[in-house]
Amino acid sequence: MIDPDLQELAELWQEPEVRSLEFEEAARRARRQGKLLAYADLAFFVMIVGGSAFAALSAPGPVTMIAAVFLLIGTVWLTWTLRKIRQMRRTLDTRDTFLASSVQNARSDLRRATLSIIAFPLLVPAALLIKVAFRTHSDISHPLAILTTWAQSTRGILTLCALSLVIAYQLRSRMKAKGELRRLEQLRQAYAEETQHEASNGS
Amino acid sequence: MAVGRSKEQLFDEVVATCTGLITRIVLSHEANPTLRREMVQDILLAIWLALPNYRGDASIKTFAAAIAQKRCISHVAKHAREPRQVELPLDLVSSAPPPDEIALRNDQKRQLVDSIQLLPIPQREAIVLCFEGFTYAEMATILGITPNAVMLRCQRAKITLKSIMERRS
Repeated sequence: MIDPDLQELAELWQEPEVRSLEFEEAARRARRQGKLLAYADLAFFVMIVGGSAFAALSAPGPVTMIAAVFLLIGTVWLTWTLRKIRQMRRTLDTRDTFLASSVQNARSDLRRATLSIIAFPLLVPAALLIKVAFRTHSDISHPLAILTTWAQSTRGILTLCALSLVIAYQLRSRMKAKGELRRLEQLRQAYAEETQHEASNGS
Repeated sequence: MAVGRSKEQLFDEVVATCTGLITRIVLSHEANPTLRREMVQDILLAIWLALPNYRGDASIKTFAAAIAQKRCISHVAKHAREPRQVELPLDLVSSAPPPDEIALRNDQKRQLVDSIQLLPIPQREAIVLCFEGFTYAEMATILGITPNAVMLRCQRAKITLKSIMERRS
């Protein structure tokens, strides 16, 4: 059913442009990827359950067994529930909840990136000082000197380079998450305005 | 799956019947051909993953369109900066009318696609589904609003689209 007013434009819009071979190839890839994902899901599940069972059996004892049973039940339940939720969310979301969950995801990404940017530069010196404390039996009376010596060593330089890369990557992720969040908020605003128009015209 | 068909069969049906629909929905949101190919792939994977939830309440085309629209929104939120104006491929029309007619048709189509890409997303979704021949009830299912709201949104989209096209021509 096409509005007669739009008939001409609709015909123009629907003119064949489709490269069906390309589409079929994409469909084949999607099918393969989907099956692989399902196998990976299963492999992950088997790995956790198998690993837990092996660990429980290799050091048998009542406490280990109870922990293993809880772990097994928990893992099965969690995997199953998450899988169900994931599949449902893909199709059953209404536009509003879809946007709301997208906004929530983007916010979580932003928080994760911010936290990583704060945590990584603190974690490296902290880990180094703990390591030195272990080696020297808690003698870390000159932490700054320890850190300076370490930073001048080859290992220190390499670690600092890696840390800089990680931080740069996190900064980029943060910027991307911020952009995504801004665009999602704009989209939400656009939908809200549209709904408002419809409500005022409908009443 | 309450429709008595396997996931494979349903996916085959999607591939057979929704090629144009998915390609054009993607075209309305992304001007870059490489990104468009990625989006098509992404949408097909999402459809494959979502097929176990297909209950047959709506047509498979409606189901595919709903997923395609949502994937496009995610794509726009993740990648889009500004509406991109990339040259469309020259072989948009593959039939064989005279070259001047092809050029004119290509030009008209390019103008239409560019104008659709400039519409606000809520209106863009509505007008594309309208062009694809969905009923208001089907569009309401896809967009998650009432048929009455769909009708109003289509009207607004039509007016905005025509004004954009007039300004551009």
